[in-house]
Amino acid sequence: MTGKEKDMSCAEFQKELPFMFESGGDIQHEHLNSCEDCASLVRDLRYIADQAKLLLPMHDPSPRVWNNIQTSLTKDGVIANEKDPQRGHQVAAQKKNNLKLAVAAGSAAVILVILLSLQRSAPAPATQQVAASTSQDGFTDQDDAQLLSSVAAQAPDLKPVYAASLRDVNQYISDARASLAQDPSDDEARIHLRQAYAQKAMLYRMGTTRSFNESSSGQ
Amino acid sequence: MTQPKKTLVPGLTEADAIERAKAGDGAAFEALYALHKRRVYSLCLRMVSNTAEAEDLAQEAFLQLFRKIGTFRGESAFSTWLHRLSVNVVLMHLRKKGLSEVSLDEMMEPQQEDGPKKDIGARDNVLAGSIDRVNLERCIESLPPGYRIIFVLHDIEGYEHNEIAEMMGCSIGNSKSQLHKARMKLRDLLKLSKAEKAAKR
Repeated sequence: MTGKEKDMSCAEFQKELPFMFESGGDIQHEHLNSCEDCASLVRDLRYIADQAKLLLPMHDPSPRVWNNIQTSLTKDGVIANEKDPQRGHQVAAQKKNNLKLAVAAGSAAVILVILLSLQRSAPAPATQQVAASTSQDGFTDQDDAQLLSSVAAQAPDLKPVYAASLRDVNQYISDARASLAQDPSDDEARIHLRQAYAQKAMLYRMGTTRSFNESSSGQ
Repeated sequence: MTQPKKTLVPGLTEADAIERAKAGDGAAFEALYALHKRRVYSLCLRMVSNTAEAEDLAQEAFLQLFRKIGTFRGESAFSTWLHRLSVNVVLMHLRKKGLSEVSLDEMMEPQQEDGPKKDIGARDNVLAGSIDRVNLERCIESLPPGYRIIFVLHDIEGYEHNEIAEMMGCSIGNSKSQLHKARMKLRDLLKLSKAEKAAKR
């Protein structure tokens, strides 16, 4: 540490801060040892950057987007017009899988509909109760553990990916629930909750699909 | 969601889908779209904060990509190619829009009243441990456009300053400085939101 660093004013330190941050790692600066305000600022900015890295892509475009893309590509001749027999085969395989997937996705949808309708009509304390009980009736820690062990049995290398994704989406659900519990009229939080459940349903669907496919391919 | 092997549907990997898309297979295009639509659309939405605009931009990005898919040689990851292209589509859109609505200078350097306050001598509550992601998303959405774009590109999408500088046509120092201001502004917004929530209780 240099004497120059120690004698720095807050204004001087904060002027240099953008460039210290981007050099990577923790910021080691003598000024931080003697100034709690700047130390707190650095902690907050680091925390914001860390939290931002955990944000997931949570939004899906409307089906209109794909319809427009498909129409344009067909019109331009990028998509061939003739029927592809292999495509028919894949669609059939997907439909068959969907029977299995419907259980996981359907249960998520039911939980979501019940949760949202009760949240709309019930007063705040009741909403909190409903959210808590839905948590127990819906995706539980046990369900997550079962999904993970199923994934691990079929494809061990994918288990950490699923575990991290489940952790993230559970955190999203928890955050959205907390927001709704604080303000039941918060439509944005409700949308986030719905999207988080949809994402979790997708995770289950992917996990179930993988297990189902691999078990059928092994037959 | 991340899938290391990127199996799109049973028996179809991303690499297979790309090859089949090159041959004009509609199902392969659909599978590639299904795999990447959420990330591309979320990127567009976070950058422009408008659902209709974000859908148009996502559509444009996929159309450009699919029309050029024959030139994809696989030297770089397909997703990297797509996301870089999507960012360029959004930035191009913002530049065009800037001609009539927002100047590029303003996009890069928001008005002073929108900017973060200096923190010199401030002694208030800390944020650590108190941010929920819904609130963070909401605060990012309310950032001024110039700040929001840099923040999304660097802190959420993981682009480096040299890449951002190249895409935005600014210096690396400018990118660093804008990112810092964006985080400072976010800190203000998050603290305000925290105080409002506390007052409601």
